[in-house]
Amino acid sequence: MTASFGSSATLDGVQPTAHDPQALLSVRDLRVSFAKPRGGPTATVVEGVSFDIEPGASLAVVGESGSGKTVTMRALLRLLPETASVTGQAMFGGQDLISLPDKQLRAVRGAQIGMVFQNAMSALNPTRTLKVQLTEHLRWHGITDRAHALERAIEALDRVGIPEPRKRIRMYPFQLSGGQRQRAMIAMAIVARPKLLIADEPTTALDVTIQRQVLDLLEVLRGDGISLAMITHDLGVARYLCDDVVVMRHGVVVEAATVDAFVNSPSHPYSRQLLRAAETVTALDPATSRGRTVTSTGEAGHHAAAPTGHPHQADGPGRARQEPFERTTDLVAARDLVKVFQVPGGEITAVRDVDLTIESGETVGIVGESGSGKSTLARLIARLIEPTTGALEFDGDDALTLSGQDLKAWRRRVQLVFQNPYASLLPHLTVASNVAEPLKVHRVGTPASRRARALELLELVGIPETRADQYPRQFSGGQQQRIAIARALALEPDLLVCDEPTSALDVSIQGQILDLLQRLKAEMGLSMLFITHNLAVAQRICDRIIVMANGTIVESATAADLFGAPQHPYTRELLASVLPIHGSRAVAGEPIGTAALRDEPELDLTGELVETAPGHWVRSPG
Amino acid sequence: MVRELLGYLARRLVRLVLSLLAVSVITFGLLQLVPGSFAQLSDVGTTTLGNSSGGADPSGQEGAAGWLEYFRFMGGAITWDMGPTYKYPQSTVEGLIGEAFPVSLSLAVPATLLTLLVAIPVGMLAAIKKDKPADYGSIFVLTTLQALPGYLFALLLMLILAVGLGWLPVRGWAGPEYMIIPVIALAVQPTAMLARYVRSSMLEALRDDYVTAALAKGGSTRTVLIRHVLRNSLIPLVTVVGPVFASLATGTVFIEVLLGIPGLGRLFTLAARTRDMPLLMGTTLFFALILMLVNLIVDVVYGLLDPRIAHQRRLSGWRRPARPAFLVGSMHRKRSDGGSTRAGPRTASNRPDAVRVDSASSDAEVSG
Repeated sequence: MTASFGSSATLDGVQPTAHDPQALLSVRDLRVSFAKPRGGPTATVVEGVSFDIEPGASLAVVGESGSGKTVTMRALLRLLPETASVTGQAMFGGQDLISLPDKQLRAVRGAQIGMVFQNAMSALNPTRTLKVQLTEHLRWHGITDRAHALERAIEALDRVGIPEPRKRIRMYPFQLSGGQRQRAMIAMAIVARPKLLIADEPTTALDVTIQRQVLDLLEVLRGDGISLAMITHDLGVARYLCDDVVVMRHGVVVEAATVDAFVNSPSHPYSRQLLRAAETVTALDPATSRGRTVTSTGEAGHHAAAPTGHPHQADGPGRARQEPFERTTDLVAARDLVKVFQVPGGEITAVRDVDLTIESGETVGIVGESGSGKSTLARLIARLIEPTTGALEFDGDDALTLSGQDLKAWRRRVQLVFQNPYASLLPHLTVASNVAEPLKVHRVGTPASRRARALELLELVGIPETRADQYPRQFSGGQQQRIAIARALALEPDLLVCDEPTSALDVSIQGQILDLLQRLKAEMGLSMLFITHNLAVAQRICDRIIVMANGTIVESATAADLFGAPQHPYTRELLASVLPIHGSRAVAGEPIGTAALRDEPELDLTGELVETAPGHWVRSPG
Repeated sequence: MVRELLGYLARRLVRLVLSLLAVSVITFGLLQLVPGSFAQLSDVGTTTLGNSSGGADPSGQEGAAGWLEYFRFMGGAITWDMGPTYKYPQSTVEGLIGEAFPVSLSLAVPATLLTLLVAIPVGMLAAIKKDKPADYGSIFVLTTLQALPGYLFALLLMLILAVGLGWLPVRGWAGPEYMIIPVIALAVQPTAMLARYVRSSMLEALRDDYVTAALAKGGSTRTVLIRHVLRNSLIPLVTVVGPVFASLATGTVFIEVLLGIPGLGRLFTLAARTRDMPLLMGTTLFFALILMLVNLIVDVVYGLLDPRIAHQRRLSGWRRPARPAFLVGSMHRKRSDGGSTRAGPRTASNRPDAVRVDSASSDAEVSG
């Protein structure tokens, strides 16, 4: 128990001592520690976790990375490496899973408790067909013979909404789409009809629209009488699917409550911090540009006191976007950009006929799902790759004909921030040297002046001078991203291209980075091109948002218009896929039945972009 | 599938012929560049094999255009008629190769089998007992064995088994009992290398999520090891075994010379020493042919064992999978294309977009 958290009263409430006889799974005082190789000290990762799952219930275990949530759940089935030592009790069907002999534990694994992993691509054996992987454990557990096992596996695939299960069961995992793969893995976990399903971030690796399908599938399975324990860092997911929440931090349960109680009146400071940090999409009324959260009546009372509702809108630079734009010259004007990649056996059009302008001082967001071409577009604008056809103007000059020294000089004006900060920093240089590196490349100043500038920039992003001579690996993910931002600012660029700068970070850190970017933008008069898959992040930071799909623009509007009056069906679908944290579940709409999961309709993007309102462009039906 | 495979084979064979042509041009060019000729070597004297027939330049016209000679040789090589060697005008190049190759092959096949038989269990054991005495012990022994040259073992075995105990003949080539010492000596280094390869390959497979998933389904450690781990970790082994076999089949100079075995290795050294152009060209081309054929077989087998490879080839016009570099490089294992897709999610963080990249790229390939 860490001293800094929670009063003992809270913890007493959280830590029941006696086992709940009714519970399907009753965990008491679970502790996990890992021995360091060669007899080093042990590291305790889980320190006395207790919770219950009632039959038919669904529990969300939430927390940020390193909170011990995955280790806890894996410890229940003793799936941790040999270096782990687990103590405590986990009563399941009258047996203590922690002390059960191996053979009996194996009878529980797979047959009574199924497990779903984050990444189906790695959790399914790539060289075995679905048939093998869905049927083998039926035979291990002696549930059915070979012939019946196949029928049952086909049935399970059908249940999770995989089209043509009889054909697909003979396929290899890589032959399925991402969503199908995830569902096939769920089918693997439920084919033996377990009583409890443990799902470890089952939707984190998926696009939002597919995430919704998988969550709805899990909801359907609950209807079949399978209880659910789900690990997630996404409070929206927990809110959407689960009844109860266990909040973990540093290996300790800091709060255990029903979802409603957790959302509406969190008792622990850390819970409140998590809820505050979670970004939600706010439906904006374009007429008044006033925020209104997509939340329920239950939350409305709270927000009545603060009309802006969303905590991040109350003040700060974010507010600036709600003023009408001052017409300035376009910093970036791209016309009819096309990028075709030659791949063996054909070509892929990653970006198709994209027009884009970025005004001076404006933040333009590009949102879209994986494969929508948003990162390719960012790289085209930064001229990291050359467009196949199209024009690119920067500050009124043609940016595509630049070469040699002119191009090098131009590059000073456009800088990038990448998704993975550690990978984008030079690991063998100190952070000060990292930040000074662009200056060195462009031969700006003397070594002394470069260092002074680097320290100044680090100070600006909140890295103290005392740490300037440490190496990137000695910093946390959020700090590394700050350093990467400082480096991008070293040459005082006009345009900052940010490619998913926060998606590798925990939510609380994400908020800090967004605050930093907004502050810097306001202070330095930067223009930004901000790539993200996260609509809530886009809404918070962008003035204008472009929705992309299949390499082309679907809709383009100011943030207020896009969130207030989305017009294209795809945009609406994207917005509907974002799961609200507050409010009742009904807000998110009815679960999509498994029958509906089967159709993955092709998006029709053949039409023209039409201006339906000033500055609001929508692709018309073709 | 069969049609695709045949098309792939056809393309690979065309490439193989082109590569052989390149090898022949380079080899011949180098021979032309080197000062001195076979004729001038006559005063060096006799060599270990027979008398020097020396004297006249067998190529006939002194100073004839080199390329004429090249075309004459290559014309013959295509029909497996490379003509007499300079040194032994009475025997043909193809005749000598035809005699030597079966000898080398009869060492290479048992040596490769012995390698596999020992390396796979040892590597597996080391992987399963990672960081335990069995692992440290076997790694120590394997590293030591790999560092010692093979002919040292040949000498040791000769001393112990032949000279000391008198169980086996010392050297020569006159029956199955002559094979034992060279086969063991040849197998030592590849065994050490392969065992380490199996170990690292198994360790990598053991870390994969699908192993945990299989355990979570209720499989016993043994079942999961055999059904999922071993199978997947042995697939990349094919890419290493192929080149090992090829290098053994094309002769091993030290062992053959040391033990007096009339294999390809000895033939090649003889050709190189006497600058016997037809014999050098013939053996070099033959080596190249064997290596390329083995590579081709490896690629086809690899594709059959790992469905992802065949799939990627179909998309990429059946491009060769990246393979571990032969022998030395194989310790820093470059996994095949398929391996890298598996490595992706693990190295990525558990945040959406890190994984997203991986699934996106594979999705793009999949549709259909």
